[in-house]
Amino acid sequence: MARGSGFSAQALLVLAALSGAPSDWRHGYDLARETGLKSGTLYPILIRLADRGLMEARWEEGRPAGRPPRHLYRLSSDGLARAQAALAAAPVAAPPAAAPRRGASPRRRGLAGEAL
Amino acid sequence: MTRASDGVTRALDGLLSRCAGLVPPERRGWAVAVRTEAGEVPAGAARLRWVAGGLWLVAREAQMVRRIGYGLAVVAVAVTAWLVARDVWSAALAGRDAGWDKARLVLLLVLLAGLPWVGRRRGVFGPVGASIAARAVRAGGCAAVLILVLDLARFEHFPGAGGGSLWPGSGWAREAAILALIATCTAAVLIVRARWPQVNPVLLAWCAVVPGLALFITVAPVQVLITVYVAGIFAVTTRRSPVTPATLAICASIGTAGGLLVVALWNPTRSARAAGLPPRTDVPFLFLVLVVAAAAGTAAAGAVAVRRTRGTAGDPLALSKTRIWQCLAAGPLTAAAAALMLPLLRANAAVHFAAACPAARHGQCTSASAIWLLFLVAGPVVGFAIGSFAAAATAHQPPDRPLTPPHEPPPVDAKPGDAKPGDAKSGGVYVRNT
Repeated sequence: MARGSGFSAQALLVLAALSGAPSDWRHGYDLARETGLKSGTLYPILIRLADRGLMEARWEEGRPAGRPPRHLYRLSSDGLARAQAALAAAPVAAPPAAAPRRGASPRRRGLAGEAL
Repeated sequence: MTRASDGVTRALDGLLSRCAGLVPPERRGWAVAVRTEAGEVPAGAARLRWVAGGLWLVAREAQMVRRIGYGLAVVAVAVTAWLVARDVWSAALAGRDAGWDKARLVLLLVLLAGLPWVGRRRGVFGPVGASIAARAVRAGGCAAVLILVLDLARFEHFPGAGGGSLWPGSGWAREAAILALIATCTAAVLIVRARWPQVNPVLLAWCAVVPGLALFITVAPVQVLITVYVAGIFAVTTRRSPVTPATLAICASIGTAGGLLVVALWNPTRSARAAGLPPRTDVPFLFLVLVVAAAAGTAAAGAVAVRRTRGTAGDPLALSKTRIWQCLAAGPLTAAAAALMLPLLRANAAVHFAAACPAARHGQCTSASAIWLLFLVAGPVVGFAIGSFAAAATAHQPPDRPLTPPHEPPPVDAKPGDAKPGDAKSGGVYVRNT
């Protein structure tokens, strides 16, 4: 657990991914790949971040060819400040580039577990 | 394999599409978002896991687990009510007070019917705390009480074994006198309130509740006892309860273990006074075991409370208050958990004994339900006394570690019910700080 920062280890992974390019709008699967989180873990975190005004969410404009519009996310200015403060207090190890192996949770892989 | 996986994925996706409607409208977009992203995920097991995660999200946001839990509670209460009614009405009750015993059971069923409703309302008794310990204690405690009600209904068939009135005599005259006394007390409170409106309402409420409860205990002791148990279970497991999850877990564990020990040592036939049975009784020894369990639970909860500094915001007074609450709750909680084990696990043996006892019809057998009531009433009372001593001993001990400073205040835009740093209920965003 990320003691002291006020965020869970998984939330810190999401914040780290979103604060990497704060002006870019990201979509759910993109974040899942970067953080290694499953949809059942990722989306509750996104919902709480949005509820607290730390993250902005919107639907993709227009009608992309061959796929439905995506739900997009980025940190708000308040969220970016909070994320930077939290990540400075509890740095997150580099998240995996691809989806994790089955059963390999961030905590088991040692990501931000004890260090936070 | 892939074809089967795709089929399951399609089925789950359809289910997700239908279940999304259960999510509150302001959250429904998130369920749609998971579905739209599923097309990006590579087909096969990865997509299946993604859609399954979406279903979990829907279940979480629609509070389906809670809905299912409350639905099960309603069903459990209804089934208990039906079983009690069938048990009492299908066979004739013994004794002259059979009609009044039935009336008391109806009263109890009415009280139990309000359980799920009370548990959901925000206030002293609800909603349930976010911790697993609070939910487990509430669910387990209520289940135990419902089983206790069923067992007591079975004992109504044996004279002197049920939970009748403690007033001497029998018949309509006695019941009318009791009701008149209750009506007089209620009227006295209303008159005082109307005549002297400046009287403190809280003080007046206490003045009414305490003698009213005492009087009611003499009329329907079992019903009052069960109501008090249920109220206690709800009060200590509510979200606003000062009793910590650690105390709940410790007391439930030690109380259950102590109760199992009592059950293992108890022989219902040896506790009887009927002719031809051994005269010795093991009830005092068993009660001693229960008291030792209560003391152990209080000591363990007190020791944990002494180590605890979280949530006290660096205030020694708050720390003392926290410790006092844990110790005062620990004794009765442990004793109550231990006492409930007896009727839960030895009901059949006790009923068979009561049915077989040749002197039961003449009230010469020591009723198993009387022993249960002794444990269920005296156990928590003794536990409370032990807890009081423990509270006095631990309240002003210096903390093991330095007091933590106050937590960072929650965001200004946080809604009143929102989780904040330090909360356990936070949907994975926040974790509890120590």
